[in-house]
Amino acid sequence: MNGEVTLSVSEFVALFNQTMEFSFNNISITGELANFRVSKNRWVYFDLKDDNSTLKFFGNVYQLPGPLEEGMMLKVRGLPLLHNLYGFSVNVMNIQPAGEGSIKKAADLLKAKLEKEGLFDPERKRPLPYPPERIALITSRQSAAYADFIKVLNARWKGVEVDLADVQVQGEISPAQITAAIEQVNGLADPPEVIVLIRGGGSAEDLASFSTEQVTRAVAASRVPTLVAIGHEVDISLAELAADMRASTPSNAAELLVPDIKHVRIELESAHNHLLRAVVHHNDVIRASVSHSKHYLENVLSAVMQREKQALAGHLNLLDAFNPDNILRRGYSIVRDKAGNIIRSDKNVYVDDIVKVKLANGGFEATVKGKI
Amino acid sequence: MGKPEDKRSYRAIKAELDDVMLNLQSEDLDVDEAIELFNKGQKLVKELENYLSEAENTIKQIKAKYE
Repeated sequence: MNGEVTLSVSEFVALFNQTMEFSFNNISITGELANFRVSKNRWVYFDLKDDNSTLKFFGNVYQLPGPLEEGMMLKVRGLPLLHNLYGFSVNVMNIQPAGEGSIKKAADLLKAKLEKEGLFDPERKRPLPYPPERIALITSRQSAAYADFIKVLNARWKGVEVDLADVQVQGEISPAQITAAIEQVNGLADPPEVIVLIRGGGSAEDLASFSTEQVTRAVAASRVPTLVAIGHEVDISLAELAADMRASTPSNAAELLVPDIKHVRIELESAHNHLLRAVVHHNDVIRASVSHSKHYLENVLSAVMQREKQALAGHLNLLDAFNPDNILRRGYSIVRDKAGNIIRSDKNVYVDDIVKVKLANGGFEATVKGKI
Repeated sequence: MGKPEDKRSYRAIKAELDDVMLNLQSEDLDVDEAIELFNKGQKLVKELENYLSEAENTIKQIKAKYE
């Protein structure tokens, strides 16, 4: 503009801000964090500086990716604003740790904080249904992680319903999307049995979303059990620490989630054989038991019979002693009167009575001559 | 779960089979019980084999815009 323009203070401020919005519409600034403070548990004030300059920033606590420390390198997207009263600062829209060092530092700080709260306690971890019938898969549909997971799942098992939530797995909006997906699945009237959250390898910056406070808390708070596999790194993301189960890679996640159908088929065949063997075994046991019982009964019967025979023989011997023939054979005789009655006493015997005398062999009639 | 009632989950069938196998270990089964368990076990094994040969994995994308 040529020529002089005169504006009121407020007009200048308005015009200045309009110009800022137009020129710095989508700008991110990287610098070292300094003078960080939180006011009323809501407002956040800090500076970013480099060797030559310092810039003021203003934001709110919900924009913090996690605990921050003086000296950390941050990347902040914001809008420069000249406040009508409080002067110039950059209004924060997004804060992320910048550079591997800061990313690691931020994760360490957050890990310590959440560990103290008990989010990573082993006691919190729930077992996953095995195998699950229905899962939610939260990942980027275009990614190799998705392809790998599905490939291994299809090779290993059948009958799984997969509800896919396609989200950004890196970048600024990634933490919000992942969190929203986890919360949405938890909010379903008929939720799946497991949430599988996966992402392939990448740089520390690529994986940073999975170590933000927002995502880590969402995983920890999920009522649906979670299986998380992030990258191929040695360093474990915080979302993995908060999960019910962790896998080393997306493929490994599928291996932990479902059995291998080949092994299960063999197991079923073995079960089939086992059933047969169990019945045969039972038959043998019962047969042996019956045979044993049979022998036992035979023995008992035999002993009883022996005993009875002996008793019987005893009785017979006893009876034998009373056999009249045996008595006569000893030399006794039986004397009967005329009427045929046996005479035992000489009281009713008179001279000239006719008596019959029976001997062991034969007998004779006799006349009584007199008493003895 | 939105499934037809007669389609049981793999887990449920397997649990029943494990139960049968466990009961067969028992020493004081009589012949009738053993045969009954055997038949039940055979039926369950068949049911599991059918499941594995007929079931399919399905993928359905959740329609939602996440912000």
